[in-house]
Order: sequence, then structure tokens, then C-alpha cells
Amino acid sequence: MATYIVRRILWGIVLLLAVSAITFIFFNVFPSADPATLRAGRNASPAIIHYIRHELGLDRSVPVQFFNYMKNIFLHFNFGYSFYTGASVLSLIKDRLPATISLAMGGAIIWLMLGIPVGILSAIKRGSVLDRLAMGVALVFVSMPVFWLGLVVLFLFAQDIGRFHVLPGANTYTGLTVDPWKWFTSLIMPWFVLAATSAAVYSRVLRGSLIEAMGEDYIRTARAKGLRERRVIFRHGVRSAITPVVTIFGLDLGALLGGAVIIETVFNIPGIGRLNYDAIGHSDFPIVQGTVILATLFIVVANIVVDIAYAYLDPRVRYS
Amino acid sequence: MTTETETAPRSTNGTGEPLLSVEDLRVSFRTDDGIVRAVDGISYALEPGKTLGIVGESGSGKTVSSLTTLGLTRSKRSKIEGRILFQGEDMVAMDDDHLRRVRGDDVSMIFQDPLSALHPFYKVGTQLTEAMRAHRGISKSAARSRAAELLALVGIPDPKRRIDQYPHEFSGGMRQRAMIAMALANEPKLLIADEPTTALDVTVQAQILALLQDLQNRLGTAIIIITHDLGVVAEIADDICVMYAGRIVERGSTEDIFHSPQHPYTWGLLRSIPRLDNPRGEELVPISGRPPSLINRPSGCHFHPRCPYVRDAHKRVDPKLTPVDGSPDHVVACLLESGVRSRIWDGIQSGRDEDSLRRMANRSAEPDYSDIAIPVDKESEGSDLSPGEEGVVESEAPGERHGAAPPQTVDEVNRRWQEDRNPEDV
Repeated sequence: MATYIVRRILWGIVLLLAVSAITFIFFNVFPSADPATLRAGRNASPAIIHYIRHELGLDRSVPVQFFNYMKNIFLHFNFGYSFYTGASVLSLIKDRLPATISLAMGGAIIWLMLGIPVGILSAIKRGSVLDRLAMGVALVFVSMPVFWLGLVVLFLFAQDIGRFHVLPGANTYTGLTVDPWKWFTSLIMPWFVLAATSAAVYSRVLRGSLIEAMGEDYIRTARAKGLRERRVIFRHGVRSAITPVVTIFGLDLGALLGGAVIIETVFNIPGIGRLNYDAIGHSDFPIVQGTVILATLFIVVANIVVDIAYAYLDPRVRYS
Repeated sequence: MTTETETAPRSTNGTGEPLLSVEDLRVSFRTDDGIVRAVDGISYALEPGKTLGIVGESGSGKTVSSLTTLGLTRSKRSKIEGRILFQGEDMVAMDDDHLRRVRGDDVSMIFQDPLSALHPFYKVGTQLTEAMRAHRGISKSAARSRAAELLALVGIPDPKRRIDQYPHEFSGGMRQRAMIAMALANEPKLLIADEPTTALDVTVQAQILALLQDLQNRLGTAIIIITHDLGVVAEIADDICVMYAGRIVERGSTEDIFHSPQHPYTWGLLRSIPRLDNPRGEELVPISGRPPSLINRPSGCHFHPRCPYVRDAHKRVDPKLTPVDGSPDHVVACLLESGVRSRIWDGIQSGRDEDSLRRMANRSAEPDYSDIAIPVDKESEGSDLSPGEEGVVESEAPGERHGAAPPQTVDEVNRRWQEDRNPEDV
């Protein structure tokens, strides 16, 4: 198992190197706007642009640039500096990460708390009115695009533009350490919008997987042992059925920590996704590179964690 | 459908109160395709410490009948009628919670495929202690040491280490031993073994059967063993029920079933077992056709589409279980006269060919023209003399030599029959 984990981590590092290289090629080799001109701002003299180009190392050959870029990232954790503000990309990411983590974690808790019970109930009461209703609602939420649902929710409930002035609207995000209550209320809407689709997906996945598990021979054995039905369902059925849910949860969370671009934009939450979105608009390549590599890092880590969790959940994986 | 009218099930070997007495049990399931009558009025009894074999092909209702004993077929879609008296209590009428307390405690069950029947995510020891702690208020550590004892009892070496292993770390035979240990955890009075050896290889099969017998001798557990293999029950059962299409078609002591089997289906089962004492090169005779649909069962005798000795009347009359002459504990549901049956069985044993066996079945019927025998595998279903039988599952009749036109006269039937006898036609 230990060698397996080490091997997975090494592969993760290789993957990160590859993604870094690809982003470098995208932004530095393919034709794009001249970073030095962007950095210099409007009406800059050619001398200044030339100076900036030298400053950014853009006058060197591409392989040298690439070597420096990779060296900075992997040895000094230096992702470069924003063309616009000159702030270090790493410090920008550090500033923005708490908002993204708040959004992702809160949303994840809500979608698990909704999706798992609904999935279990639907599977156990398969074919009942409850099941049909839950799966119908789930289908509706799966089908709704997040940007649309987000705007509808804002239109309905936001304090500034909403029909019912219930919840703080967009642009009200406050840090947890600044004001916990404001943090909480400002995130309620984005959490639920984020959770809606996922809760629907999770309930459907768990329902299917639990129905399958409840048809297994070992469930019949558990009943034949005279266990209580609750125990049969939870200890024997759900225990098996939860593994696919754990897998998609790990991957979803990993992807989400890399920035929920749409939700962060709709609700104007200053997270990684928003940072990335704005940087793309400004052709602020160092930031885009930094956020892409960060997202890759989260996904790679999530994959490794999922694999380890899987081995923990399913002993058959552990030994093979 | 007519019903089996037998009321008092015979208790094994005469004396004593039966431990389990199944009376006219019927189990049906509502499905999208129609009502599946999986068990259709079966009765049997089992004394403490005895072994009953229930034999039949898949789909004969043998597994459903035993799952019903444990209440495991209860659902919104199922309908269970009749009585299952276990120690005088009716398991059919019992409420769910009471039934739950009986199963795994006084009655336990082992299943065909021990790999899928054990939970892949829990250690063998955990699954064993869970069975104990569901019924006995014993501590975890006491249950654990008992789990190790049980594994030792069923012949698993190094049980203290084995209880901390997962099912996938056990071999097939070991897993079945662990299943048996789990079933025996609460010292049940009745153990139902559903195809306990089918998923195992032959040498392991014999070990598991020997283990079951040994445990029965030591613990006095009554056993119901469900199998499609008469060879398995021959070794271990006191009595045998042969099931077909949800009914018991023959029931008797193991000796009765093996020495004077009465039902053509039982003959078929017996002839399909490989035997070491048979001459080399003797072919095993499969039972032609497939088990009938339990939604639309064949009319009359349910076995008629596959019976080599079928007569026309058998397609209309539903046979009752009746005692065999001179052997009241041996019952059979067959419309052939007992004299004919014994002649055919003797013929089978002396190695007569199929055609002459069929002629034996038909000879007694010749004078009766309303009951002309048409060997079913010589005539296509289309030439059936009694059309209009809906829901008959077509047997795979080989050789439709006469085309589709049904014979119009008795003479024609006889002529065709003569042709059938002519070997050149074959």
C-alpha cells in the first residue's frame, strides 16, 4: 500500500510538470498579446516596453524562459507576477483561496446532507411516491444550468435586486475571520445553488448503487442472520453502495477547490475561479497559469486521496 | 389450477413430532409479465436431526420454498399462503420482528455461492460475531473467541488468524466453511443449505457434505439440503422431495427414490447423474426441453411437454400426489399406471433404448382410443390432438417429420406411429 501511494504521488508530480509545461506553451509560445505591452500600460514608450521585456525575461530564448519558469515554480514556488498589478501570483491565490474553500466546503456539506438521505430513502422506498417525487426533482436540478439557477435565485431572494428581500445578494462576501455571521449569510445562496446539481446527482448515484447492493446475495445473508432491517440497510447495503459516491465526491471537491468559476462570478465571490475569470479577461497570463496549475494540483491530490479512501473502504482493493 | 389435496404431511420415518412441517405452501410473485407461481402447494415434514433433500432444476421452486421458510420472500409483490409450522409456530403468519428473531437463531441458512453471500467489506470474524450478537447479548470479546471456536469446528486451520481476514482471502471451500460456521453460530435446530456445494469443485464438495453430516451428528441439527444434483442428496439425505414447476412430484425416503423412483422426471434426474458403477461409455441421458415458465404453466401434468411417456390425457388431467402401491410414505404425482411405471423403470435400468421404453408406456394404452399416446419428441406440437391449450411451454421437439398437419383419424395416428417405429425413417 505504501509503495502504491508513493507511486501515485510521483505520478502526480509528473502530471503537474506536464500541465505546467502545457500552460507555458499556451501562453508563451503560441501567438498572443505581448505581455510587455500589457504590463507597460497605455502610451508606454518603446524604451519602457523594452525594459519590461527584459525585466520579465521575455527577450531570452524560449527554452531558457521555460527553464526559468519551471525552476521558479517548482523550486521557489514562484508563479510570477501579475502583469497588471505586479502582485505575486502566489499571494493573490493565497488571498483568494479562503473564499473558494468556504464556498466548496459549505456546498459540499449541503449536497451530501441532501443527496445521501434522499438517495437512501429513494432506494429503499423504490417505486413509491416519495421516490418518484425525489427523482423527479433531482432530474429538474440536474438539468438546470448553474449560471441560470444562480441568477434566478438572486432575482428571487437577494436583498438588493430580489423580489423577496431575504438573503444578502451578490457582492457581499465577507471573510470568515472578519465577520462569521456575514460570511455565513452571504454564502447561503451560492452554497445552495452549488449544492442543487450535485445533491441531485449524488442522490441518483446513491439510489442506483444502493438498489444494486440491496439485491446482492450478502444482503440476503444479512437478513438470514436475523439482523434488524436498519442494520441490513446501513451496515450492509449503504456500506457497499457508498463507495462510488466517495469517488465522485473526492473528484468533485478537488475540481471545485480549483475554482468554481461560474458561481464565483455570478455571486461575485472573490475566489480562485473569479481570479481566473478576471485574469483571462485581462490577458493576465501569470495568474491564469498559476490558477491552472493550482487546479491541477487539487485534482491530482483529490485523485490520490480518492484512491487511498477507496482502498480503505474496499479491502479487496487493499490487497490486490 | 387444481390443488394438491394431500393434507397431513408424513413425518419422517414414522415416529416423533416433526420439527418443521410445511402444509400446502404456495408462493406467488406479481411481476410485470404476470403472476409467477413459484411454489404451488407443497407439503413436507422434517423431524429433528434428520436430513431432507429437495431436488429439482432451477426454477422448480426449491429455493423459493426454503427462503419462504425464513420469511425472505416476503415483499409487497409476493403472496404466501399455507402454513410453515416450525416447532408448532406458523412462520407464514408470524410478524416480521418475531420471524427475524427466529431466523439466524433457530433456523439458519447457507447459500450457493459463498463469495457473493459473504459481505466483501467485513472481516469473516466480524460477520460471525454479528450473527451471534444479533440474537445473544454477548460481549464482543466473547463473541470473538466463539467465532474462532466455530471456525475451528468447521475445520478452518489457524482460526485465530483467519477471523481477521476478509472473505476474498479465503478459498472457495474455506468460504463455504465460514458460511456454515456463521449459520451454526447460534446452534440452530434447522439448517437450510441451498445448493451448498454447487459453486465448489468436486473434491471440496465431498468435504463440505462430510462436514455437514459430521456437524449434524454432533449437534443434532436438522438439515434441508436443496440441490439439483441427486448425487449430493444420495449421500446425506434421509428423505427426498423432487420438485418440478413449483410442485412436489415425488417424495419418499432416499432408498425409495433411488431404488424405485416413480416419476419420469425423477428418472430423468437419476439418468443424468454420472455413476462410477455404470459401464464405461454409457451415455448420460439429459432431460430434453427446458423447465416450464411459472407464469403460464403447461396444462394437465406440468411435466407433460418434456415427458417421453406422455399421453394425450396427461395434457388435460392434473395429477395428484398419491401413495405408491405397498409404500405409503412414498408418494408420486404421475398419471401413468403404477405397473407401467415399474416396467419402464426396469427397462431403463436394463438399458433398453428410448423407443422401446416409450412403447412400454404406450402398450397399456393401446385399447383406449381416446387416449392415444403420441411420443412427444416424434410429433411436432402442431400435430397435437388436443389444440387450444394456451400457455403450454413448447418443448424443444426434435424431428418434426410429419409437418404441421395434425392427424385426422386414429388410423392415421397409428400409421404415423408405425413409421416412427421404422428405423429407416430416423
